Amino acid sequence: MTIYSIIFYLLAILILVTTGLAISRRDMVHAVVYLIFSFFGSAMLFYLFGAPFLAVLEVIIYAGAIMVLFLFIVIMLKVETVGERLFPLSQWLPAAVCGVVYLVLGVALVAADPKSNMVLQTARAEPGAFGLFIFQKHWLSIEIVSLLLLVAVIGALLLARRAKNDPARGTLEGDL
Amino acid sequence: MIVPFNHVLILAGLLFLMGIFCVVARRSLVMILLGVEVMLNAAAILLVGASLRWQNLEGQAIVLFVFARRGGFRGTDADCLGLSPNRID
Repeated sequence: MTIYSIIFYLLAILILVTTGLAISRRDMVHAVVYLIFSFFGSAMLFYLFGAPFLAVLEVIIYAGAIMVLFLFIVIMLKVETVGERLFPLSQWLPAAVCGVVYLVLGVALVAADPKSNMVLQTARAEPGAFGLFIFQKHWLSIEIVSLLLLVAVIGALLLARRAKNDPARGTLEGDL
Repeated sequence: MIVPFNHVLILAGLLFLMGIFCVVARRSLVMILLGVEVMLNAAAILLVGASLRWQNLEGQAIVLFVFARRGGFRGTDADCLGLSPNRID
């Protein structure tokens, strides 16, 4: 029981608890904030698994940009909370049974594999070496992703212009 | 010496299950999107753990590209929902 395994179990409990809280909140702002906590925990987990660059990226992009975007969506668009009723028991029971069967099967599958018991060794991908690897072996993916981001930006501008010219068909506020 | 790889698999599986529950059981569009984010986070944890188990950098590369793409997609989502810099006045 090394310090690393203690850190891992603490982080695992933190991530599971905060995600469980996030998906069960009625207030959406609370859900988003709990999810931000969960992403901070995941970032620390990435750092433990030897991916410091990805840990920092997760904080900056995931928790820092995307969740803030969600917060803006929830706060600025008047989202009417649809009355979320609980599903009746006749729908819950088969779903819960199937879910439990899948869970048991999954755990059995994981436990039955003799090779998956291997203890992870600590390693660390230095950002410089990681960058060299990405740009040498996956340069095409980088070009494609940058093109994709360019398309996303142009699409967003186009949608905004169309919404400004014709406010009736601009938004989806009613659907939220 | 961290943990057996089993435990990472189980953590990622539980997280993925929570994401699926959030997508299926919540009715608000924002909560469905949050469930998708949770599922992607679970997959990212699994990929980084696998990259450590096989001491290979490919898993981290996949996670990098998934993160980069999602930023663009969420930006377009927000704009579809009517939240764009040209409209806020």
